[in-house]
Amino acid sequence: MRTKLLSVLLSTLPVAALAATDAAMPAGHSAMQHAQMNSATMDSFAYAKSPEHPDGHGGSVYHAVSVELDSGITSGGSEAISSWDLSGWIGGDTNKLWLQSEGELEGSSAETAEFWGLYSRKISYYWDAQIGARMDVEPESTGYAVVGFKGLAPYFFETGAHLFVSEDGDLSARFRQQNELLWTQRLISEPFFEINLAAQNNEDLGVGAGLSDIEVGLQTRYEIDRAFAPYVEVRYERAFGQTADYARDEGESTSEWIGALGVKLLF
Amino acid sequence: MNHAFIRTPSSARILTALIALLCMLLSLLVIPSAEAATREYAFTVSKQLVSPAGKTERKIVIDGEFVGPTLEFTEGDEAVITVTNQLDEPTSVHWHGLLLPANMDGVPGFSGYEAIAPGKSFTYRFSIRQSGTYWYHAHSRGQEQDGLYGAIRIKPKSEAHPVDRDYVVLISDYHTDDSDTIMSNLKKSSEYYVYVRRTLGDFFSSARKDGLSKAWSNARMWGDMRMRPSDLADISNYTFLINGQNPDQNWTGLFNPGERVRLRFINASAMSFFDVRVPGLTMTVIAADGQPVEPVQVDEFRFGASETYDVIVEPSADQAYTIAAEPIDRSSFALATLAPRARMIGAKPEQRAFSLLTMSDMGADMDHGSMGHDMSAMSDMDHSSMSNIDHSNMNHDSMDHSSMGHDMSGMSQSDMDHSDMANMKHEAMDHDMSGMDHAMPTKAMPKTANPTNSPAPDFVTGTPGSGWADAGTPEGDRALEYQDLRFAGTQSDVRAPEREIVVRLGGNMERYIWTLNGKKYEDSSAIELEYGERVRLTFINDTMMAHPMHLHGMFVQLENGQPMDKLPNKHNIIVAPGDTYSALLTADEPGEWAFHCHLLYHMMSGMMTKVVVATLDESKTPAANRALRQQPSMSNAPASRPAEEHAHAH
Repeated sequence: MRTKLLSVLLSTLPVAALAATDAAMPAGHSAMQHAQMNSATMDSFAYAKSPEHPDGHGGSVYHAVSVELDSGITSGGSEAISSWDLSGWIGGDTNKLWLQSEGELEGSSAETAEFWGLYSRKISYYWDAQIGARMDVEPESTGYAVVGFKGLAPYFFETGAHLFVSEDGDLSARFRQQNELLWTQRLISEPFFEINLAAQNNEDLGVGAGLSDIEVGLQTRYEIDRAFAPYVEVRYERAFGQTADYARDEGESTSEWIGALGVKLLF
Repeated sequence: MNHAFIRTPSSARILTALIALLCMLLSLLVIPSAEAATREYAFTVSKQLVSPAGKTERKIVIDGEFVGPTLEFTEGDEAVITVTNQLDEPTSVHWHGLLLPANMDGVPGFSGYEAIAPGKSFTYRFSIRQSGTYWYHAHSRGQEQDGLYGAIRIKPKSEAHPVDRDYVVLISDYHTDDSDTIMSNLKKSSEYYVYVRRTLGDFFSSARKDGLSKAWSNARMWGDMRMRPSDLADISNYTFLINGQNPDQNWTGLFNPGERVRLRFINASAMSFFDVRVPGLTMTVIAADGQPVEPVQVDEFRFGASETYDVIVEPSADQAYTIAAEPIDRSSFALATLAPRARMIGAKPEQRAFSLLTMSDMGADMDHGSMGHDMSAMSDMDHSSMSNIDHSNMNHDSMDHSSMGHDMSGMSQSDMDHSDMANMKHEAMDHDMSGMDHAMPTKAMPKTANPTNSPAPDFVTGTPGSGWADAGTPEGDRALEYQDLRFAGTQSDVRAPEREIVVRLGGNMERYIWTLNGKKYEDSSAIELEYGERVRLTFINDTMMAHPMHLHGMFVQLENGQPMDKLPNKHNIIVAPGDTYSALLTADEPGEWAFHCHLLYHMMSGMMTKVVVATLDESKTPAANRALRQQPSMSNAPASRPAEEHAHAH
């Protein structure tokens, strides 16, 4: 029911057109078939060359939305810390609209809040190239242009690598990987890390040039099914170099441990 | 005298009568089968609550029955089947394995056939030109998974294998999720339904067994390729049914001890391969995919989605025998019983071990030379130690090795006997893969075809060392192999193929995309055949899964090492992981035919194409098929169908 509602909502998005282009991609003849064909007979065939789409034989639009919500305690403060991480796509096998949002609340005030909208295109077996925009609401309202890659690296490392150019012309980058360790078929630990880099100092954002910060963590979840999995997460965040200096100037800690309980949903 | 006779008025009447009689006699000769009956069926497709897995779900029923009725015909009959669609979406029914006019085949978008709209009916009309065991199923979205399927039993004009009992054993996989949900979940994550992945515990137990370094290098290798050795099935949580009944309901076929019982096994599942056995009984296989084969005795057989086997068993004891069909992911069983009396239950067999895939299942692009495919190195193997080699079946003269396009240089006929290959035991191979080239992933991925690089055909289902092909058959038991199948009778077309059409089976497990020759259905172009043409279809499986490849409308002759006139007819061929298999085809049924993997969600995600058999020369077309040429789909004329075939409101 939930899923149905969601797909109705999602299907109203303009990306349906995007997926349609996926299906209408040039249907070139298989070079190999042709190599085998006697060219003399080729032109004699009279029938519709481009196959129609019989029901359920391809060309459909699909979607996936993963939601992680958690709340917990931090070594860096007394207030509860909550975070969200939504990522999802809608489209066909080749072309997708990729939507993403993540952020953190300390108490009830948002510390970080990002919203991404990307066009994602299959460029190889395991990789998509992505281009689009990212809008941060916190810590400062800033817009970015985004280019990057998302996919599966050897040894099942789910990988995202993105480059950002802010509206002020600042250049930064993010690299994230995660993997899965199966204790059982349903009890799964997911180690992850994220590295943020910047090309220049930006005091407003509190980000310094070079390696600005890293995050490493371990999420351990129990998949009641794929759609619903409660989890425990421990993560460590640390700022480096000028970024750490900015944090110290603000009277904030440069590193913190966070322990949280949450739930992961897949629509 | 004759002159005078004709001129008299009364003689004229007699003559008229004689002519009329002659015309009647002629018409009897012209109509193919004078005793042909018209068999009419009418059924309604709708949704209804059913609960074969315990939980009640709305599924597709035919005339209110979950798993449709068995349609009975006799060879020569005229079939008239009216299907009324009470679903809220278009439907269609495909007559799997039947030879019929292309516009009656029931695949929407092919040969001018259109799906049956909600609330409408369609009447299929065709002559029954064959006998045997077949089935029907929807060819619209995933409706086949959701319940639109049933058996077809066609009696021959004269029965070669008289029996006392004749049962259809239709095996299917039932899921509580509906097919659209399954398809969209597979697109979210191809592992959505997979609960047999390797765990840390599995790693440590293999480390204990084979040593840490070997376990580590093995795990590293699979990880390097981003593939999983446990990838035998895409979908779990199936409840397996026989004739629509789950193991607790226990469908039972009755017999009196000493009777001959024919079992018509149909794999009507959407996604499953089964190992089938009736413990305590030897099965004599008499037909494959509905077509007669020379009797062969086996203890078990494996079949893929849409294949059928007819077997005869002769239960002599006054006891219950269990019919067990075990899916290859070993998740559970489809069970039924043969018993002298109702409500008897046979012993439930033990679940066999799940076999992991090996590097041999990896793909045909791999360096097979280093894996035991190097035939020159194999010629010095000790063949004499293999006890079950039957040389008598082998006729090398009938095999045209030169036309196979495979590099067999360095191998002479005299020192290499293919029948030995076929029976070679897997244990003879070195399974140690730790030394393999780890740079494989790029090589194993689908890429441009180079058929000459494919391994030479060994007629075995599965590559040497294949984990997929390891059925766990007990010592001393005999499992049916494709190379056992010999056509009962003599094939009429024994021409060598004029050309080879290579069909590479590819996929992207991560994205759940499946392809033929690197293309999804919507991007593919048709395989074009000329009427009467004889071609070889060579399947090269670049994926780690087996694919039952089904061609509509025509039987192919499986090149299984038997002489040309003994090659068995098949409508479906299992191409095992990493394996190569070929079949011959006489393109003698004009029209547009679907050609696809019969794993439902593989077909739905692209593993399908169109085969067009086009007639260029009117004189070559048999009269019976001439009308078909006028079909709109065969020309560029606007689509229209003969009036009587139009879907009409019911």
